Amino acid sequence: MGHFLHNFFGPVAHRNGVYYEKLVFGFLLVFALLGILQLAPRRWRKTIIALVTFVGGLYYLAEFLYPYQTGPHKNPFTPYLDFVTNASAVITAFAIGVGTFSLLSLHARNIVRRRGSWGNSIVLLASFVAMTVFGLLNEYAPHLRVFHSKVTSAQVYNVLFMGGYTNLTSAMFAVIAFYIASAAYRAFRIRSAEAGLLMAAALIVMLGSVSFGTVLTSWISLTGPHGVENPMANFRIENIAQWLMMQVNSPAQRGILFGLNLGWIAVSLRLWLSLERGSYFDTEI
Amino acid sequence: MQHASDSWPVAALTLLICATIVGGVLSAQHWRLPSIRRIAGLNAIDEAVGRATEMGRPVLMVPGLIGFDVVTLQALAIFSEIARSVARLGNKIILPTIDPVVQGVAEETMRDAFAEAGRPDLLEEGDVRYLTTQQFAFASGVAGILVREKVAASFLFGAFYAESLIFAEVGHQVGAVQVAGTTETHQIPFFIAACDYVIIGDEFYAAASYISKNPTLLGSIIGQDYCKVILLAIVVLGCLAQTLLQHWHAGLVAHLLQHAVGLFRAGH
Repeated sequence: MGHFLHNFFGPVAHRNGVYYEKLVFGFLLVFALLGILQLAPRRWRKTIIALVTFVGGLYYLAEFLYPYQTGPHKNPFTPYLDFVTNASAVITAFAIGVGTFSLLSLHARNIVRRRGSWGNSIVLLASFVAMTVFGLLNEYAPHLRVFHSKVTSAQVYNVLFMGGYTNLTSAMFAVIAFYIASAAYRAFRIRSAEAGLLMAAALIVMLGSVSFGTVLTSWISLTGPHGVENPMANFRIENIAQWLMMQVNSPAQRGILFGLNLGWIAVSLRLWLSLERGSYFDTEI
Repeated sequence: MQHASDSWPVAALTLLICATIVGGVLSAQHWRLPSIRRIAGLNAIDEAVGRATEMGRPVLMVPGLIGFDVVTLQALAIFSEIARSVARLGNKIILPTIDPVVQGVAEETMRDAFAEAGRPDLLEEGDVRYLTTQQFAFASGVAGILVREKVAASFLFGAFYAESLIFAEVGHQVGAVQVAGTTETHQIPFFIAACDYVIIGDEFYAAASYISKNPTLLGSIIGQDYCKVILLAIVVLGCLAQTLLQHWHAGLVAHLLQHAVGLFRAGH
């Protein structure tokens, strides 16, 4: 059974018959499982979901607690790790349909009802169709001539992806530079003691990171009269900046991380043991 | 993949932390309901929602940029509480998502929240909307929503990355009251610079319990606080042991100290 599952969910090198068999079987299996869940009486659904969640979490816990190797015996759970990870990836993939439906229905409604900025919805739907069609053609028929011209589907996809999408993404990323300037201006206006402290620390760290700042305190010698380390060198701006980053900033960040990771463990536990009632689905599913 | 056998003391500590948290939950459920100190950023939520309602403008909630994860689920738990107050006041929400799985859970969560507040009619199809899975495409989509819908209150809870400042700055430009909380420590300074209120660190995980006063969630916070005491004690004792080792290199005390410090080293 284990061997079959491992083979079934293992990677397929080429898109041959086995690949499509697995694809169809995967679809049928998930639809069957979802169908069974839908047919189950309402009062059982929460129990089924809680049970599946618990068993799924228990597998990972058991895999973690069981030693990787005890003498000649290896951890019996580890070989199934890929299978369990793949299975959850397959189930997750089904949700893509939910997202796509939400996106398309929202913008289709915008166009039909002529809501404000419905022109944007037309652009979105046209882009969606173009990227889907040429994405598929690029994968399965990259040399197909588009509209009987010399241009191939792969070339059109390249223009859409590299010429359009990538450039738009870069442009959006670049906008952050301007937002950093405007946010920094507001943050550094000295309105309180804390803002003043923030401003002073930021100024030192910024100066300590550029050569101009280093030059400002370069007159403080690194070594003393007998070649020993000069304690005053600690007051060179790059050293103060380093101290601020390592002795002030890092411990604060680690302190925050302690709290965050504990919170992460707490939420995971509540979800795993289905204690999280009252936060998500309080009413019957 | 890590295993407990890589470091048994760390595995034992992990189990102790889990037991302490579950103990806190059970204690709050059956014996004593704890109280949490006031958190300014969370008190501002009602104020922001009320202001948006008075202005007749919607409330935006962004659950971060990662998929179906503990952090996103926690963000949705906070949004569920905010949505209840939005629904009670008769206002509207917009919740854009970056992940199809999150979309499904978010829709269900918001539907429940509006139904419990007695206003299921206020939540329309498209209020919870999937935008894209791409980081900057999502950022530009959210920026567009902020400007077009003239959002008056913006809640940014979850995992945010380089795009955090795009949300916060565009929100500031449209005059929205902004409350943010993220688990990404590198983005906290950006939010502090650009938002009105920021919840820091584990306040993010305390937020839902603080708003809902749910015994399970409150108990979990108490458990977390006990765990912090345990971790802090280990850190202090570790520092002391390491400092003492600088002076005692040999003898029984040094041996014991070395053993104690070594307990929490990887590969022990």
